[in-house]
Amino acid sequence: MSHKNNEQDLGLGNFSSRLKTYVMGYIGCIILTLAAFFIARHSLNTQIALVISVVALAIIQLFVQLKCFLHVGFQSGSRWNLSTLIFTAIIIIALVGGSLWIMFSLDTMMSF
Amino acid sequence: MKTNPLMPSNDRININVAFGFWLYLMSDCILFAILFATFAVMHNRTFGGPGASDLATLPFVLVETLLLLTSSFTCGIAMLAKQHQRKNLLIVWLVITFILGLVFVGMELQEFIHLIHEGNSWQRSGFLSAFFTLVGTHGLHVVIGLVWIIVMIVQVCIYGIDRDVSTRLTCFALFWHFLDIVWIFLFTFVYLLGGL
Repeated sequence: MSHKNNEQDLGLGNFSSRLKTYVMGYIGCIILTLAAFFIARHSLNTQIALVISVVALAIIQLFVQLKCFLHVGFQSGSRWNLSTLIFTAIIIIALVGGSLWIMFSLDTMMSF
Repeated sequence: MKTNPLMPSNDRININVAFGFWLYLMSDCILFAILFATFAVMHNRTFGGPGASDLATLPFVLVETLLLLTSSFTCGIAMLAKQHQRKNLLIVWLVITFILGLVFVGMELQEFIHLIHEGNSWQRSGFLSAFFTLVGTHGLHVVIGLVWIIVMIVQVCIYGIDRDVSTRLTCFALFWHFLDIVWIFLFTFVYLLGGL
């Protein structure tokens, strides 16, 4: 029983489907990286459009890598990995968002 | 639950150890998040020194990015070889991963030496302090990963792919993929958007 559990925990399929996941993830990441690179090089019309598109590409690539390379998903074995990841994401958003909020409003007030 | 006839039955890892290592990686995420926040606050404090757009040419950084991405991929292939108990194949893919990582660190060091040589070390400005801390911390992680690969190659040679070695290799793979994810954000925020 524990034997079967372990296999499921690792999310192991057969060799070719596992290989396909890695190759697809790899090709996807290359395309996303090159897209971000060319957008940044040949700047878009507005700065805000550039920031949004490049950050969006980075976040898409984050999910591609989590899915294809780290195999984080909703299967029973990685549920704890996923919940700790979400918890970490909440902490990071509070920490980084809060710090930037405080620092930039301080910056604005200091310049008066 | 069905068993897979193609799946060798002897790839066992200690799930608890792998999960413990995952928790370490989550705390490492927070470390990097703090350094990113510091960088964001400091990114315009150049004090007359070079700004983010003067640091390295984008094609140079793109090559670094693709090197690290490819090494993350080859590390994944090495884990497939591990799961199928293909010892020689595993060592070959680990060596390829090591070489790609080594070239990456070499390029990063070259960038750092070039900056310091021109008098733009971490003492030059608040921006450069934040830059060297952020990129240097990532580079230090990669160097530790390189040492880890050597240790794992030696362990695979001596012990073969037993349960303990297999667990350590899984932890290493998590670490290496994690470093590539951190680099995506470094590439985006420091090099692509840092100049804004």
